[in-house]
Amino acid sequence: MLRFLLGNELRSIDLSKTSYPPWFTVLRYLREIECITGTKEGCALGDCGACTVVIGEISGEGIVYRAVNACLMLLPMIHGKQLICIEHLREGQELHLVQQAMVDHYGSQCGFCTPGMVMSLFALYKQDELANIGEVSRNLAGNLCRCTGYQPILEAAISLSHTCCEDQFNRREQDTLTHLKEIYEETPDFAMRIPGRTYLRYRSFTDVLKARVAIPDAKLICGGTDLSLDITKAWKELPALIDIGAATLLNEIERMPEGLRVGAGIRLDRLEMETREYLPALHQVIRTFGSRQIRNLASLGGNINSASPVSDLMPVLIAYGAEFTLSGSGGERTMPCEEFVTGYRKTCMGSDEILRSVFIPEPGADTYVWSEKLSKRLDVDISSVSAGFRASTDSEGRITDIILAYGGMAATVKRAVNAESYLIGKRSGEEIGSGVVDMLSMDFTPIDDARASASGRMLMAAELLRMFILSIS
Amino acid sequence: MSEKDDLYMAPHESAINHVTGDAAFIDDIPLPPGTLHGIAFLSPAASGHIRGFRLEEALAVPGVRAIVSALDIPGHNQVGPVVHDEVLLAEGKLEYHGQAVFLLAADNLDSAHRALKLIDIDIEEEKPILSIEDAEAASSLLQAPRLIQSGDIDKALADSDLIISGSLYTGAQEHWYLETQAAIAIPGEDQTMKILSSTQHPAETQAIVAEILGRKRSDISVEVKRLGGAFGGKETQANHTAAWAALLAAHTRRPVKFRLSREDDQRSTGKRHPYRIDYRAGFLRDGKLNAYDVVLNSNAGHATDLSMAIMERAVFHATNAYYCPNTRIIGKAWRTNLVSHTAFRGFGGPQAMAAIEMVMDKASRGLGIDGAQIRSLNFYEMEGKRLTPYGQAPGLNPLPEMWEELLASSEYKKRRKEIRKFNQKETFRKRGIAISPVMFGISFTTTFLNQGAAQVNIYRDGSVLLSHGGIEMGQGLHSKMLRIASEALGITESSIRIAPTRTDVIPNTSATAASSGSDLNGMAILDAIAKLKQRISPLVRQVLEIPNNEEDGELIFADGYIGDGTESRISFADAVNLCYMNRVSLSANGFYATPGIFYDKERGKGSPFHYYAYGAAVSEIEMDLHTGRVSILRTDILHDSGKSVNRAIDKGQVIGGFVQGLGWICMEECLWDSHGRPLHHSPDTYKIPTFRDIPTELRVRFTDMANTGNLKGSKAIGEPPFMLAFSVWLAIMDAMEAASPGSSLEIGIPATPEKILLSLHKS
Repeated sequence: MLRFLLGNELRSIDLSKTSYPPWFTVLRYLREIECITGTKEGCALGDCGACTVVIGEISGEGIVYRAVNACLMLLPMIHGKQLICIEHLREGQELHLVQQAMVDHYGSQCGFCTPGMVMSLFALYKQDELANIGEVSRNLAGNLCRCTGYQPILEAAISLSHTCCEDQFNRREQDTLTHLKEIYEETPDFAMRIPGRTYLRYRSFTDVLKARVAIPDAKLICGGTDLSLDITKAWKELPALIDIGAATLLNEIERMPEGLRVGAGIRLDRLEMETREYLPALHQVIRTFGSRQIRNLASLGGNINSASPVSDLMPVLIAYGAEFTLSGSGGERTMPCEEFVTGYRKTCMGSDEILRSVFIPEPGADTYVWSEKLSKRLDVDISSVSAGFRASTDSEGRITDIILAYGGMAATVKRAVNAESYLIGKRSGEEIGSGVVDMLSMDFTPIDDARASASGRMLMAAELLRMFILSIS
Repeated sequence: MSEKDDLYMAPHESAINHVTGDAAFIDDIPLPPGTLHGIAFLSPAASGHIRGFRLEEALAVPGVRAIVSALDIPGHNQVGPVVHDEVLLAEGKLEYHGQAVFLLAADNLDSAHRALKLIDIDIEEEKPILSIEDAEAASSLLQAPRLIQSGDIDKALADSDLIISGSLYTGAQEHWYLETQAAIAIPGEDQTMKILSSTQHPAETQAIVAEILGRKRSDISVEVKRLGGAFGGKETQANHTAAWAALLAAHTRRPVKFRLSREDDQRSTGKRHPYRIDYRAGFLRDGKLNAYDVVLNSNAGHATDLSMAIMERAVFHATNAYYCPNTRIIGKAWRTNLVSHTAFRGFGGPQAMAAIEMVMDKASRGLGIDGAQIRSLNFYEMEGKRLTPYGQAPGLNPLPEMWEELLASSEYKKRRKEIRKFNQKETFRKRGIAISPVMFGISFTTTFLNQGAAQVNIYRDGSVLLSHGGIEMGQGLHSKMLRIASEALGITESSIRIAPTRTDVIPNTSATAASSGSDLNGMAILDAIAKLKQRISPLVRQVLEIPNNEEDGELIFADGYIGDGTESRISFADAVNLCYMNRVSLSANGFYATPGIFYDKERGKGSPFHYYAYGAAVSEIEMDLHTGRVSILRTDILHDSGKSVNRAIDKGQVIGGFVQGLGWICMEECLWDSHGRPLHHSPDTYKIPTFRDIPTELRVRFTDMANTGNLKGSKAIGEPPFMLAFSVWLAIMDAMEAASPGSSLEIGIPATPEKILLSLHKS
C-alpha cells in the first residue's frame, strides 16, 4: 500500500488496482487522478520548474521541505512523505505570505510558471534560505519565467527574507509528524511485484540487493531525474523498478581522516553542503549541477551510473582519485573510478551489482584539485566542456603529478594523457604555450552538437587548462 | 518616495488566481465526457516525398480512435494566414523537419504515444535548402524584395568620408512561452464547432478552422480565456493546433484536445527569423550618417506566414532612431526547408536595428567618436533631420533629452573611465559599457489591421461584463482595460468582469500583436461606454431633475454614482435598473480605427505609424577571457511609455522584454544539422535566461510625457523594450575591443560564450 500525505490528507493507494502504473509521475497523479491542476506541465523534462511541488520529510525532530520537479518524481517515491502543492498554501481565503509577496511585487504576468515559482519560494522560505540574494537566484534557477525578467520575483523573495517562518505548516507540524511516523513504522517499505508493474522500494540494503539479484532486468532508480525522461520524453514503460532511494545504507556519509565516504544514494543537495569546505572542487561543480529541484532528487550514484560523456561529476571525481565500491551477489569490490565507465553510457557494473558508495580521498597539501564547467547558460545547463583537474607540485613549483579529466570531449569522460605527460616538470603559475594545445588535439577529436562546435570545444579545453595552470600556486 | 503614491500600480487582475493556481489554462479545463487526446506525427525529414505509409499497426493499438491525413480534410488543406502556401498536413511533399503528416486521436495520451511509434512511413529524402546562402543559390525568394529609398545613395556613398561595410548574422529565437500550444475542439449541433484555443488571434483561428472543415465562419466560435505567454508565437502558430483538434473532432464527432509536448512545440512551430544583413554605410567626418545601403535577408522557412509583414517592419526600422538622408533599404525573404518562421516580439525590428547599431559602433571606432555621442548626433530633429527614409515625420523627439538624462543618471562617462582603468589592470577579465536607443513605430504596418472592438454589457444590479477583441497573454491587457472601463463608468474594478475573448461576441478582430492591444481595444471600450452614457444620462437627468444645459456639460460618473457633481446623484446600480425599467438598452458595442495612418507599398512612402515609442539603455558587462562568460553588472533603462495606464504593468513589460532580448543576444541558439534536423528542440539544449542571467543591478525609470491622440496619453509597451538589450551586445563588443585593442572584433547574435571565445581567438 502506497501511503503519503497530500497536503494534510492521508492517502492510501493500492497501486496494484489502479488504472495507472507505478511509474506514473507525481505531476500526472495530481492533474489526472486528483484533478487538481494548479501544478503545471511546462516541459515534462525537469528544465522549467512549472511543476514544482514541495516534499515534506521527517528530519530529526522536525520536517524538512524540499522543492522537486513533479514531472520527474514517480508516485511511489513519495511513500511516507508529505506532498505539498500550490492548492495547499492558502488557508481559507488568506494567501500564504509567499503568495502575497508575489502579488505585492508583481511577480506574475501570464501566471503559468507562477505556481511552481511560488512552491520554490515556499521551500526556501520554510528552510530559511532567503537571506542571500545570490543564493536565492541560484536556487530559483530551475524555475523559468518568460514574462517577468525575474526581477519582480527576486524582489518578492527579498521581502520575505525578514519575515518569521511561522505558518499553517508549523502549526500542524506535530500532526504531520505523527502521520508520517505512523506510515514509517507500519509500512516502511513499498513493494509491489506484479508482472509488468513491479516497483520495489526497501529501506534495507540487503533487501535491495536481493531484489537486484532476483530481477536482473529491473532498472535501478533513485531520484529519477535521468530515468524518468524515458517515461516523459520517450513514453516508454518501466515494467520493473528497484527504487534504492530509501535504502538507509546508501544514504550515509562518513567523514574519515583520509577522505569522505559517500553512499551512492546521497542527494546532491546534501553532498553540496557536506563538501563545502572539505572538497571545494566537487562542491563547486555541484553548485551548478541542474537546478535546486534536481539536486534535491538526484543522487551521486545516479549521475555516475548514467555514464554520460558530459557528466558534471565524473571529471572531478577522477581528479580526486575517487574509488567506487560495488556490492553484488558475490560480495564487494572496490575500483578506481576511472575503470567504472567502459564506453558511451556503459559501465562495468554487473546485473547483480549495485554501486554502494564512493570514497573521495582528501588531497594532500601539495595537491591542488580544480573544477570548472562551461555551458551556454550558467545554471541548469549541460556542459559543453567540463573539467576536473589535479596537480601536485614540488618545492620549486614544478608539476610532479597531474590529472586532466575532461567531459564533453569524447564518447566518455576522458583524460588528456598527452597533455598530462607534456606538463610534467613544467612550472605552474605561468602562461602555457601552444605546445600543450597541440597535445590536446592529439588527445581529443570532439564533435559538433547543439552545445558547442568541435573547434569551440578544443578552444574551451585549452582555455580551461590555461586557467588551471595559472591558478596553481 | 514610493512610486505607488502618485501612480496607478494595481497588480495584474489575475494575480491572486496566478499565485493560488486557480488561474485556468487550456490544459486545466475539465473535459467533456468522451474527449479524445490528439497527437501529431511530425515529419522526420526536412525535404522529400512520402513514398508510402502503413497505419494498420498504429490503428490496432487499443484506445486509438482515428488517424487522419491530408486526404481526410473536408475543406481546404490550408493554414497560410496571408498567402495560401502552407498546408495543414503534408500532401506527399515534405517541406520541413517537424511538419505534421498524420493526426492521431486516442482515449488517452499513453495509447496515442504507443500508436505514434508504430506509424510506418517511407520517405524519399531530398537535399534540403537550409541557409540563406542555400536559398540564394537556388533563387528561392519568397516574394519580390521590399524596397525603401531616399536621397541619392550612390552619390552619397561616394561623398562619404568613412565607409563601413559588412554582414551581420542574427539567430532564430524560440518563443518558449511556458504554456505550449493547446486547443480543445467541441463539435456541436449542425455544423457548429466550439474551439477553446491558446491563440493570440481568435478571428484567424476561426477562419482557418472554417476553411479546413469547409464550413462558414459563423459555424465556428473560438474562445480564449488567457494564454500562458505568447510573444508572437501564438499569432499564427496557434492555428495549426486548433485546426488539428477541429479536424479530428469533425472526423470522430467527439471533443478533441491537443496540448503539444514541449518537444513537439519546439520542433513544429516557427521561431524569430534568422537574418543576414549586408550593409554599407557612409559617414561624414563629423560623425553624421550620410548613406545607408542595406540588404536585409531573412530565412523565412518553408512558407510565407507573416514573413513579408515582418520584413516590412524590418525595412521601416533599418535606421532605428537615426536620420539618414540617403538610403537604399532592400528586404528579401528566402524560402527554405526550415519551420516557417513567424512573429516574435519586435517583428523584424530587432534584426534590422541590430545592424545599424553595429554600424554605429564601427563608425564610432573608425572616427574616434564615443558611441554615445555618435548616436545622439544622428537623432531625428523637428527641422532638417526630419523625415524617415519612408517619409514619415516622427515629430517631437524625446530621445535627445532622454539620452542626456540617462547618460547622467547612469554615470556613463565616469564609469567609462573606471572601466578603462579596470581593463588596464586586469589581464583575463575585461569590462565594457554601451548605450543604445530604441525608436519603435506603433501600429500594424498593414494599415487595415489597426481596428479594435468591444462590447460592454451592464446588468440590472450594476455589474458590468466587458468584452473586447484583445487577448490576455500575461501582458496585463485586461488589467489596463479594467482600469479604463472603471474610470469611464465611475465604478470599482471589482464590479466589472472581463469576459473571455470570443469570436461570437466580438467578430473580425485583429491579432493582439504589434504592441497595439491597449491602444485599439481601450479606445473601443471608451467608445462603447460613451454610447451607454449617452443612453443612461437622459433618464438620470429626468429623475434628478438636472436640466440639460450645454454649459453644465456631461453628467459625472464617479465613485459608483451618477450626478452633476453636487449632492444630487443616483447610484450607478439604481440608474441602470431605471434604464431597464424604461426599456433602454444596456449593451453597447464600441469600435476604433487608428486615424491618419497610410502606406503606399509600391512607392515605399507613407506614414504607417500612429506614433513612436522611445527608450534607451546603458549596460555594463564583465567578460572572462578564458571562458567567454559574460556577466551583466548593471543596466539602466529610461523608457517612454507616455502616461502609463498602469505603471507596474509597464515596468513588468520593460524588464521582461529586456531580459527576453538579452536571451536572444547572449544565449538562445537555434541550430539545425546538415539534414535540417533541429538540435534545439528541447529545453536541455535550448536555453532561455534564468535568474542569474539578469543584470546584478537593474534600474528602470520612465519618462512621463503624455502621448496626445492615444489612449489616456499612454504609449504601447509590449515590444520596444526588447531592443533595449542591444546595450548588452554593444557592451560585449566594447569589452572585446578592450581585450584586443584595434582589432575591431565583431560578434553576431547570439553572442554565446563559445562564440565570444572563438571570436577573441580569431585575432
